Amino acid sequence: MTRYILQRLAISLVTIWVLVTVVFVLVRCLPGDPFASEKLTPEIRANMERYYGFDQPLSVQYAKYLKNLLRGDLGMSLKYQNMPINQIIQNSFPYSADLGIRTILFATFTGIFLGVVAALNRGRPLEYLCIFVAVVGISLPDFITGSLLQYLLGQKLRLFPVALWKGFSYTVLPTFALSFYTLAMVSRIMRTSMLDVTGQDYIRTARAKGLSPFKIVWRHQIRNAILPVVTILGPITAAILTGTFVIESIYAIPGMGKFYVLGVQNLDYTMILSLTVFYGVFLIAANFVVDILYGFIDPRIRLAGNKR
Amino acid sequence: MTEPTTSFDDALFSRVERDASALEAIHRPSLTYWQDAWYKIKKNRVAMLSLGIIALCVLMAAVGPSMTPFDYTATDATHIDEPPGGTHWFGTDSLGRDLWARVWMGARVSLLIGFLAAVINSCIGACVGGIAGYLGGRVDMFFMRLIDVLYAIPYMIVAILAMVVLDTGMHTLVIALVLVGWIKSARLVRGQVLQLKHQEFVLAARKLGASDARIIYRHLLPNTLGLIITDLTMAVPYAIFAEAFLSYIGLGIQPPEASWGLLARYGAQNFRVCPYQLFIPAACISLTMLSLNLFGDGLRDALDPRVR
Repeated sequence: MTRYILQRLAISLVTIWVLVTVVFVLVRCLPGDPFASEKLTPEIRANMERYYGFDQPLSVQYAKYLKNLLRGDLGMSLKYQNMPINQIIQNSFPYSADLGIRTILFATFTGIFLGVVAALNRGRPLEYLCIFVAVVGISLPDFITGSLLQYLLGQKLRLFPVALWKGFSYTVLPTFALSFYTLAMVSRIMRTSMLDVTGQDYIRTARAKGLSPFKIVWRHQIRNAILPVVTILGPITAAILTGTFVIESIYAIPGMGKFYVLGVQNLDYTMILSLTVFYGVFLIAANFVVDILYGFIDPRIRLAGNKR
Repeated sequence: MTEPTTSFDDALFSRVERDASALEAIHRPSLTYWQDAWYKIKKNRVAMLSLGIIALCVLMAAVGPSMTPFDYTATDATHIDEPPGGTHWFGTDSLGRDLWARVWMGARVSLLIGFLAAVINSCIGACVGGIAGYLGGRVDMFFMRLIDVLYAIPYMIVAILAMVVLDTGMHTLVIALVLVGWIKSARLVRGQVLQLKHQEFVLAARKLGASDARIIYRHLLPNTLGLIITDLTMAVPYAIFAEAFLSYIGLGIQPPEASWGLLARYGAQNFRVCPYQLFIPAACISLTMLSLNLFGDGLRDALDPRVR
């Protein structure tokens, strides 16, 4: 197990380093100039370049950036005066995280529930209903779900606020819009793996022992069928994170997605670099946790680790 | 009427020779794998309906723009935000451009990007997966670590960076989608090849002196074709979605060109006044993705050799 964890950790660290380096190089290849929109005299321009360290060779800048990164300092924004990126993240990330956590919880639990209901009602209308919801869910891009919900439930029926993030009723529409796709994915996977498990010998054994149907489903089927759902938790986090870009702009939520898109549009080098690194590290950490979690949940992986 | 005979003599009977070769005769024409798959999918009504919708979409993308006298880029200040009607079948946008022409021009771009990106992804994925799976050892190790690293970097972030670094346009969109999109099919093909490479036909080919390249391309990959094709049908809606997402946040196709994602973006900005500007492209995206997903599901069932 220790070996497994260390191996995963090493891969994660290498990935982070590759990500930082690639993004650093790419961002410097961007066509255009971050100071182009401001009217600057050559002296001020030179001053600004010196201030941000752009006058030094790229290798020195890279070394400096890595050194600061290790200390947890992500640098200064080029566009927001005197605004450290750490500050921007501190101000905006809680909103994104709030939305993200709500979405992950809602999507996985509802998805698992729908998958189980579908599998237990094999061949009945209820199964087709669940499959229908799932197929519609993976076919609707989140920006469309978001806009349609905002229009129908927010503007026409006035059931929920149309935008902003000020209390529980404000969170309902964005959370649902963002979770629909994930929910559909989870329920599809859960249904297939429930059906796989149903045919296994240990289920027959459990039935032969005379366990109640509820106990069989709860203790044996769901516990075993849930493993494939755990494996996609990493990609799910990534999908939700990118989804927040769009959902935050539709519902005017003051999260991080806005800063990323703005940074890209303004050629704010440090902003793009730092937010990418932040997103990347966050996701790599999420994948790492999921891998470890999976190792703990699935006894076969643990066995393989012990043997080595 | 004669009395029924009560005795049987041998003359009434003749001996039927047991012909060994006749026993082996095949009475019905044998179905190849592909004929069988086609036979099965023809009976799947949902899949055939989806195929029909996809075909209709492709047809409309081909002929739609020329069915109306209006050019898709021509603005008309006297007919702004006109609802769908007799002259402008899908209405006009806020610059007076005919939406019928724009939606089907957008279909051209979206479908082309979707199919192109998916096909290139599958080709690269099949090659990498085939080579890594068959050769194993260091080559496999190298590709798997590369995939581990690339997999951990969020797909959309790579696509966004690529879109920013290269100039916007259709080619760039395809490149951005291909950069990391091949990973999924590479993993799938590799898994399948690992299972296949120890089977007898591979051993036979090797004993007959076939080169590694020949074994991979003539023997292993054709056997994973069902898997690759299924993956391809699932990858097309994903690529269409990714294009729509990038265009929606303003990094994809730029006006006056059109794509479904771009139309949805402008529709969403304007939809409190003219909801049809969002509904039409949204319906196109959703219906196409729905059809492709359902067709992919049907294809997977039809191509699965286990349910033959």
